Amino acid sequence: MTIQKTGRIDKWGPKIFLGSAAGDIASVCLTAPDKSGSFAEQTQGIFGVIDELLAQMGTDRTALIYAQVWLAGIEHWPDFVPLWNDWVGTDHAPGLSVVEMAASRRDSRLEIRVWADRPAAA
Amino acid sequence: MSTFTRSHPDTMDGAKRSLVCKTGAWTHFIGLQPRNLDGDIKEQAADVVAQLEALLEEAGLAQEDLFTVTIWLKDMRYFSALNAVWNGWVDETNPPARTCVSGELYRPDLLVEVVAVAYKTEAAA
Repeated sequence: MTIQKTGRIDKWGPKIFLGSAAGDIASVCLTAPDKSGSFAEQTQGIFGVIDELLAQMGTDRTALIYAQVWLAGIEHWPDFVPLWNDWVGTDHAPGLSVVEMAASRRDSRLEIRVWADRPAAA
Repeated sequence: MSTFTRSHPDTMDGAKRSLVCKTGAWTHFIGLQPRNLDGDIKEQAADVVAQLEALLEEAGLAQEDLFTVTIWLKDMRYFSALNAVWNGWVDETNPPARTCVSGELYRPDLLVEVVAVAYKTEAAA
């Protein structure tokens, strides 16, 4: 079985791919592409990259299994809720788990990993 | 074609979510939290374990089908008490693989949250 990877990062920090997929599962994990933004802007920036990379791996947010969210400050949780609800839409939402963490940079407000079903590849 | 289902809808301060998502042989139990937050760590952990047991059974699964269990603990001061509950629950000859990391959770009185992933092929059912 081959592992498909997408979203190569090597401009700064670790050399990584943000997205990987194998069989009927795709996963993406990242912090905000622009860390100068507000909490809402960083969250929406992450959602945008997730949408883009899931599409490259043959799936989309309607097939999300769950999101693990790490917040640098748990006080941003109430700000996250409406952004999440808008993004996941009106049908049954995916799973969600939220925990506070120590971020790698002081300007990084959150990190999200998602797991998605990939029906096209199954 | 893999089967993909989300079930057990729930909300967390208004954030929509599902507690169980199944795709193919994989079943994810996401963000299980104690139903009463007025308990101490042992009561909260025992209630999460009871929920996981019930959800596993409903899905036709058992503890032995757990692939990984991730435990988010509000504070590592609760680690030993959590382990006492854990050790009372697991099959001591075949306990699940487990991760336990500390982090503040969405409510200050929430002490523990669990994400569990199970694997069982249809053929083995």
